[in-house]
Amino acid sequence: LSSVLQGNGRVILIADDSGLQRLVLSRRLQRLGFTVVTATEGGDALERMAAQPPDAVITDMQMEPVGGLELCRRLKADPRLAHIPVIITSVSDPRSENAALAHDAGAADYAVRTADLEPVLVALSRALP
Amino acid sequence: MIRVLLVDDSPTTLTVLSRMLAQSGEVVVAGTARDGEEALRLVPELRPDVICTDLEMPGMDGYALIDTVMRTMPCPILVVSSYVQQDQTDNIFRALELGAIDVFPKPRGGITEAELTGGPELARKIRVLSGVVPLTRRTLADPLAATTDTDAGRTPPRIVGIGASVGGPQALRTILSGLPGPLTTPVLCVQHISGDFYRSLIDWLQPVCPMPIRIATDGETPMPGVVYLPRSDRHLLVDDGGRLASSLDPPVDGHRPSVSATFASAAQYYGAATLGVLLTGMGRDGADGLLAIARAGGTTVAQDEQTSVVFGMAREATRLGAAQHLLPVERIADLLARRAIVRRGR
Repeated sequence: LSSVLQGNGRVILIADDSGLQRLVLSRRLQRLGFTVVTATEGGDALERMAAQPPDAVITDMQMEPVGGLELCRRLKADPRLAHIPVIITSVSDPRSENAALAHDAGAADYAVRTADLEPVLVALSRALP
Repeated sequence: MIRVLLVDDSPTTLTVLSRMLAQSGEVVVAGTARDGEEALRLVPELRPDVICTDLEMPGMDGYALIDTVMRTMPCPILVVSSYVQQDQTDNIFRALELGAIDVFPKPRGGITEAELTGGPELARKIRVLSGVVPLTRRTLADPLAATTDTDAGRTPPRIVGIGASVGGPQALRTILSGLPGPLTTPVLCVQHISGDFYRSLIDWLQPVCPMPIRIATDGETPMPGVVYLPRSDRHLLVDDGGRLASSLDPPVDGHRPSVSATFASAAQYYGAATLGVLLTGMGRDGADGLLAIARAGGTTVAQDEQTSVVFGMAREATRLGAAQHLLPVERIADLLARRAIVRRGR
């Protein structure tokens, strides 16, 4: 499914406190033709979105001070941003309670982070309009 | 405060280095010497935590000083020298064979510029070295569990990544010289180095290595049996077409090139056919990358504490559960030979 994913200049905001994860995911998305904006935690992400609303958000779950779940809740509570799909990711198993927490927070999807990024890209292709 | 002895025949360089360290707040210059003999007289008296020495000096030069200090009164030594090589035998990394631990580029340009750009990095290096116990190996306090070395069911590697920081050049030389022949995979080798010493490092490693060692070229498909090093101040990545890419992406875990960035990009493309080796070094770079390789189903190796100059990055990898094998440096070549040399049938 992700093999047909094309960015066509659409903007993805990546929120992750790991420099390595930001690097790996942003390079992959850029090669697919997306424009990438990065943030190191949820508060930072919301500030960047105010300046330029992205087409989708991919966020890590565990970040300080504002984590992925809280980022998603705040985004969904803001009428200007509520339409933006959010994909929450973590390295945990997809069947764990994290998936349920993500959906409760209003996320479009939950995806486990693997080395090949496939689950994240599949979730993104489903979530994008 | 960390007490350092500076050795250089140039009074200007001694002044520049002193001023670079004056701002650090953690390193104090205990004394200065103009050549090896003067330094040898001062060491027993000053008992410095770290010696920073030039190599080329009239009278007793830096090589002789390092050799004598390490045989008679071991002390962590940082070589501060220029990039310039007069010939193949005059290689800054030759000082490591005599017992020096790390190298740092001699400041060029004006004093102000050197203070601003090099001061914090020099102080950081000296701080790392001050915690190193040269020659005498620490005993393993709590042996960290290493999994048993079983080859069964493992995907044969199609790429090998090696990452190292402080103490890395020495460990790399041990591993590369211990290989019985060229590996049948490409090798991506990331060594943290101050300044642009990669060319010197290659010249020092190449005579003992059974494979050609090169600086990676952007866009090239990595070849089996070739060792690739990153360009200076660039990440060395495998892109999703399997080609090598030099990247100016932000530093990861404080480093560019970053071991983790290389490891994670290799794991992304090669998956379970990735073999990662994380060697001696301060900090945590490489640990997340080794974890990415392990999660992708690849093979992961970390250098053990007893043979590490600094057991930092490998300790972090072990803490994350990323290291399937914890090995003394002398045994890593054997594992690579077993896993990454495919003997073709006759």
